[in-house]
Amino acid sequence: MARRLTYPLWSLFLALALPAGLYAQEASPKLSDPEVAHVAVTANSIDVDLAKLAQSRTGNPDVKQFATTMITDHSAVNAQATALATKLGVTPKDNAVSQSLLKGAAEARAAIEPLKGKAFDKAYIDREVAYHGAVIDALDKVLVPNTSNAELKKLLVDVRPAFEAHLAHAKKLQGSLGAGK
Amino acid sequence: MKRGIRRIAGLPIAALAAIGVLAVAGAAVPSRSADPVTRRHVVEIRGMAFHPEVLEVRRGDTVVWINRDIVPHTATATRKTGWDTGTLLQGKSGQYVASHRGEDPYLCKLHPVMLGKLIVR
Repeated sequence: MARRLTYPLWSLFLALALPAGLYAQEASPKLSDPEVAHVAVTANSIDVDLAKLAQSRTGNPDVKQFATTMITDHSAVNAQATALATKLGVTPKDNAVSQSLLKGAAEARAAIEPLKGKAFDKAYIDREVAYHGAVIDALDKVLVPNTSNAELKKLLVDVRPAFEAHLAHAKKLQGSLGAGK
Repeated sequence: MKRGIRRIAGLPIAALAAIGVLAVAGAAVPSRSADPVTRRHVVEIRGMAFHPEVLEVRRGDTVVWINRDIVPHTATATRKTGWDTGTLLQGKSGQYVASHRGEDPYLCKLHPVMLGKLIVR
């Protein structure tokens, strides 16, 4: 079982561009449903937190609207995930993947926070493009395939189009800001 | 022929008046009053898309958008028609009575990559 999970977890860590030392350490852990739930909630919370920073800092109305949508949508997904976990009697369990996500988020925030004006907007939107791409990849390769409970799996599948729309929205903004080039 | 005329002539005045009104309405005024029967159309919002994406309706028809997604959406006109369902939470619906003929594109204000279009005849 642990062996079967090695590849998807590697791909998750690679997708999220974590330091080599970190994923080498965690090459063969496996994710249980409580851990998958924790990763999902953590991933949503990370995006809400960064969006709150962007909402308070950007002067660009389109970026502000995007940030507001991120807060609304990822909060809605988390509310649904929490309600489902409660219904299923699943207690989200902290794990190495969640910790790595948090570490990456702290590093991204540290890089973005000192910036101002258009540089801030570009860095925020660049991060959103990369982050949503990585989360979609993680959903497909790690979270969905390793989830046992059918309802939890369905929720993960159901939220994928929202993340795709966020990615498309962020890419559109990236184009208008001249970012990521 | 004469018999026919006589039969019509024998109808009560009220009935003749009614026939006259119907004839005028049907032939000369092909507008809203010509077709008082309006339809109700439903557009489902699911998987971050409008279903159907393009909907043909007649002026006066009601279009209802119902949100089946977890996240909130709107249906908001992008041209001067200016209608907006406002924010629709999961399971909620909003409506618009089509009042301007022609193409009436719209989007979700919260997710501007979600596009739809009404074609109002």
